Amino acid sequence: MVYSLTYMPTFAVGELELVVLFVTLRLADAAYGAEIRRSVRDHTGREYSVGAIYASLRRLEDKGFVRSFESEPLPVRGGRSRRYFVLTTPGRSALRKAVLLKRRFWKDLTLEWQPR
Amino acid sequence: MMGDRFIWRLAVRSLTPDPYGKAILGDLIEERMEIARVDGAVAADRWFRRELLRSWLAFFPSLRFSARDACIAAFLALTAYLAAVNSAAPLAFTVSDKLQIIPDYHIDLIYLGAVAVIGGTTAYVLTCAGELAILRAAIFLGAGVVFGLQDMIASARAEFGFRVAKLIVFLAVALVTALLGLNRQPKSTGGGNLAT
Repeated sequence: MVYSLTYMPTFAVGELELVVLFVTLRLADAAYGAEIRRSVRDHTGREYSVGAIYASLRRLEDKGFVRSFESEPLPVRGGRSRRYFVLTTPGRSALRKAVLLKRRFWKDLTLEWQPR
Repeated sequence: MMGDRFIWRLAVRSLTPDPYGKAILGDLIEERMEIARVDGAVAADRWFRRELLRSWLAFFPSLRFSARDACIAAFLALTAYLAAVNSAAPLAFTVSDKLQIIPDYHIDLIYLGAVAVIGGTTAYVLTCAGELAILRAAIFLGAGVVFGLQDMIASARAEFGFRVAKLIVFLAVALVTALLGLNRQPKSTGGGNLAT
């Protein structure tokens, strides 16, 4: 039996979680921790720690938005296996909903800002 | 520095049993190798230690730990506490006796300082000795016996019931933890000789 210090799971998607979902979708087969981190940095300009990225990924996996699997060890000397992440159908759906929501907000704001 | 090494070991030890923690260490080692290729080993080591600490702090609330890990951590804390409390009081009084100039109210400060130093050192030694399960089990049992004997001698003087009860609880915890320690296989940190 394992125990966790994390809070009760919710199915809302936070800001970093949304970015991680997006990046995981874009990276497709190459989505593992270090690559996701680099991609998040390139997209947001912020330097997150590996631990912060993995904490988000674990929350997303707990919510059922991503699933992970361990690869075979890399075919080099001392090669390690990597943990790869793939978006699930609920994950794609959550990403789509979040993007649509943001678009709707922006649309409303654009209308409000138009000169009269 | 001893403090650095302790925190570093603690971070690696707490991350390794968790599948995500293992992936974090793997990714950090991979990036470290890339940085070493570009900026040199010293810069890479510095980056690695800083990033490991950052990652550990960020990921710690998400760590999954087993009942066995919690038991071992509790025992480490208990052993460190007992070592500190049992040794700090005589030390504080000896120091204050030798140095007559120390006012009485400073004895408490010396006592607290000694508790911190002895407790911290014990925790450090126990954590480092954890590389070998059998050695850790022996240390746990040894610590249990030593503190148990100390308590037994003290119990002959006063507070018989309380001290015997404390001794029984302590030895039971020592035995359980030692048995758990025996079953615990040494795990790879994924870091090769970085762990030394």
